[in-house]
Amino acid sequence: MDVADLIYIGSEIIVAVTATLTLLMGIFSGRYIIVKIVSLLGILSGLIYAVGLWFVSTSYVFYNTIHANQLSVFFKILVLVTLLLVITGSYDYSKYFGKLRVEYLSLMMYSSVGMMLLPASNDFITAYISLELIALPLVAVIAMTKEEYSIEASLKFLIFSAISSAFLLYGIVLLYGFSGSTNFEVIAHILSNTNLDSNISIVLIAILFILGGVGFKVGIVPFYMWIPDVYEGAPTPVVAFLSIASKSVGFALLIKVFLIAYEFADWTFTISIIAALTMIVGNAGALLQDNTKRLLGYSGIAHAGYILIGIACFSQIGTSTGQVAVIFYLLTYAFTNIAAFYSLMNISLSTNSYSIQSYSGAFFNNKFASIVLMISFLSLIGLPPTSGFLGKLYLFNAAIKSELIWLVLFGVINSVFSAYYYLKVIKTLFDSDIEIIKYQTSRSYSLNIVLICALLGVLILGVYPDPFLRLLETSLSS
Amino acid sequence: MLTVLIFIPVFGALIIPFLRNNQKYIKYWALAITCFELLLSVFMLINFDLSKNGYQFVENYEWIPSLGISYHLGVDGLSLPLVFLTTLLFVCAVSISMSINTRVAEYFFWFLILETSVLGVFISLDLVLFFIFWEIELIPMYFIISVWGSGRKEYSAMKFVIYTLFGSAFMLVGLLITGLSIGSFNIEELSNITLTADNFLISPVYVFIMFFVAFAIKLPSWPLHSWLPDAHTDAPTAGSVILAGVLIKMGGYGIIRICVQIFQQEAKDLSLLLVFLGAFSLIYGAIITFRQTDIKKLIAFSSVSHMGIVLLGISAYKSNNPDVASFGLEGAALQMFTHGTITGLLFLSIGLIYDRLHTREITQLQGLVYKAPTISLFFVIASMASLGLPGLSGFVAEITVFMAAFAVWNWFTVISVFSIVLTAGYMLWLVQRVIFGDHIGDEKNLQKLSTYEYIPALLLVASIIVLGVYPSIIFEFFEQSVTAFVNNTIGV
Repeated sequence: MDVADLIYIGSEIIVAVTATLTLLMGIFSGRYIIVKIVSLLGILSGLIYAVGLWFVSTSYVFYNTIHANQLSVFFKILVLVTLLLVITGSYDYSKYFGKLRVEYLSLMMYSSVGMMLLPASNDFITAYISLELIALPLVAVIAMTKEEYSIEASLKFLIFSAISSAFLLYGIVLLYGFSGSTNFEVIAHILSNTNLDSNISIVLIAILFILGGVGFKVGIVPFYMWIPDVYEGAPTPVVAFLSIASKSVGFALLIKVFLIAYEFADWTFTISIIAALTMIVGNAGALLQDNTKRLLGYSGIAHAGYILIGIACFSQIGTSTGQVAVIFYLLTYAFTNIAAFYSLMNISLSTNSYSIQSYSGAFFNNKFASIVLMISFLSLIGLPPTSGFLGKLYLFNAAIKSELIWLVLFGVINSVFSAYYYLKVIKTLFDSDIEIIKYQTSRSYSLNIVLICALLGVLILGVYPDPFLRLLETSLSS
Repeated sequence: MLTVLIFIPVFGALIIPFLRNNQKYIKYWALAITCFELLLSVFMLINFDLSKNGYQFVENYEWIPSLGISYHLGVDGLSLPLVFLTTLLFVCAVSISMSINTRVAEYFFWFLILETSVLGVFISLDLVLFFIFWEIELIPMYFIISVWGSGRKEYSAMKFVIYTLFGSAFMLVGLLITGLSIGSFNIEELSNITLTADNFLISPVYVFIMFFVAFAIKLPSWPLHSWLPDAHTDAPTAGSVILAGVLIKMGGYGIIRICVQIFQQEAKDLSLLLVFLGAFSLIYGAIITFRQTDIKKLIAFSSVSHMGIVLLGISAYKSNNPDVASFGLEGAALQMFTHGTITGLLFLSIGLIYDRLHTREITQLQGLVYKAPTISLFFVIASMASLGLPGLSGFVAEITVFMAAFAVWNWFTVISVFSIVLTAGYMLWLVQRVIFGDHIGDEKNLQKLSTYEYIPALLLVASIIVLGVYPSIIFEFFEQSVTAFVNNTIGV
């Protein structure tokens, strides 16, 4: 190992150090605002470092366990931007954390270190450790409000993470037994150069187990059950973080795995079926929900289904179109979900409820948050001119290139049905037929700044996505 | 020029929140914006060069090059009259909304956004751009129906959105297939390419059907029409005017612009489907009206019937005789235009009646002519135009379509022509029940029409009469677009 290798994980180091520092400051200094500003500065410098890393050439470091390329840097930036927005906006929410609000900051940062490492990992061991690093701090954070629901959610999350790790490990072991290595590229090399006739079933099972393990993280059928419960019980900022960053890096790993898996078998059909089932389960589940966080949980499942469409078309058209589509979708989804969760939270801070009824007439109390909520939900439906539309357009475009027309039809019709439950919430916001209860709205500048940033993200990506797309394409072709 | 035309209403809408909730200012501001749009479209009508073929006022910039999507606008003789119709009806809609007093700022905000999206549909020359405007239109209309509507407004609004989204889902798939097979989303370019199964991912017939489903829902054609009566009935007056006057024209426009002009061969192959749906909607819509007790619902079904004429006209494109084919398409386009003004006027006068008497039940409205002679006059003019009285604009469009269609589809046309009798039947019966007859109730003098109610009605009446007497004023425009296209594709 070369000491110079450390530059490639500079932002991880910065964030980890800041997390530890935050923890220490929490013990010695009483002022929460100072602790918070220090942690935000730490994340910001990590972000700036990551942006700088974009221009550093690709390299394999730490004995080939980490592949530092622009794609991994892209995910680092995505995770850090999400973390920055999530933490900035949670200032008002942290009253629910009581004395634990400093630990909340540092645990979120520790978890995001795992998230930054995962897309860069080039080895199943690194990937596994990153996954554990993501999950364990989150288990603690989810329980932090100490309410019954939240503890239940935390326990569920813990158990499902453990099971998913078991799945993943079993798959890794099988692959290791077959190829004698845990390194992605070595495995890919061995798999593509050996005659697999007799052993193909073992490798297929291994890949399926890995798909299951990662599937827990991103929430695809049949591994989605924990999502609604955990989303409902967990603190809202954590849910936002979970639904964006955790899901994005999960997909990053899935992309890596399937870049290998497509070397020796055609997964298009399997993935298409899973995608179709995931979409339908997510949308059907969301139709009946009464709680907006559960609703967004199911909607997240449906969106995981849409994203799988992109992975389904890896084999047919070369991988880059599918990858660009998936990653662009994740980017649009990140901004949209932050906008959605934080505007929900903004309104709920005054009403203390997440049930759909509690939002009726919210527009007359909190205009800005309602408008952001409306736009983000329109983006989740996939209506122009929001970024959700272009994300879907890109995915469907890639799928049609791979001649998966039935899957695309299935996807678009699914999004038509999803319009029903999203519009129901939007309608509730603007409902004036019932007696409107006036309440004091929380005037939180930090929260509003986050909402404005997320809204700009949703709209800019929807109206002028070209620079981002070009960056993505160059980073993938390099 | 076209960019200005599209985005002025959005700009106007974004200004509205800054008008400090002053209802008067907001109303005048919205009216000023729509009037400006009307002037702009009139200016374009005057400056449009009829001697040149193809699109004019074209603007073309790259937008998302990686997908081949461009920001491409332009108008030709087909779209320009529809643009004019849109701007005209929006002036009317905003003008009769002066009496609105619930949630005024939002109301006009959504109307202006709606105007942008509808205009965008008519003038975009890029399939994706077309689709984007097509989708944007849903949200304002959803709010207009569900907030300011009446009756089962939420149900109707949701039904409207889900139906249209369902159609646009198919359209999205269709346009992606088209774009990827040919490598371009440019409507102008696509209409010059002969599409065969070889250069298409799947047979173009399926793609044609995907587009057609989307447009047939919007038009609406039987059997996809069931959203329309609900949405029309429950929308506020101005909403119905726009819905009937402009939004459903987007469907007809789409069929001509995309289904016919891009998928020429398929449009001919499947013209039996078009003529069947057209004739069936025509008769079916007319028969259903007899059972309606709500005037708005009655007029809504008459729209289904009248839109059948559009399909009938388009189906004449099958003919090998260029004159017949272009006559059919021109008739269809003229029918869209005149139906926009006629139904606009009908809904407008119904709205005026409803504002004063608070009922739309036919049985409760009797002898209106004694109570409100002016409104009755407008209503009668509109219904006479609607049943195709010569001298008014409805007649010209119908006769053109029937003449063209008869040359191609003898029996279908013979059956369809009976709809004229049916239309005359239900319209006259309606007029007789609502306007004439003994008047009930003691209200003698209903509130007089205000200026803001007079002006739109007079504008529409004027357009109906002018077109009825001198149709070539608008026919020239349609010819500019259609004749060249038909001559190119059919050959002389």
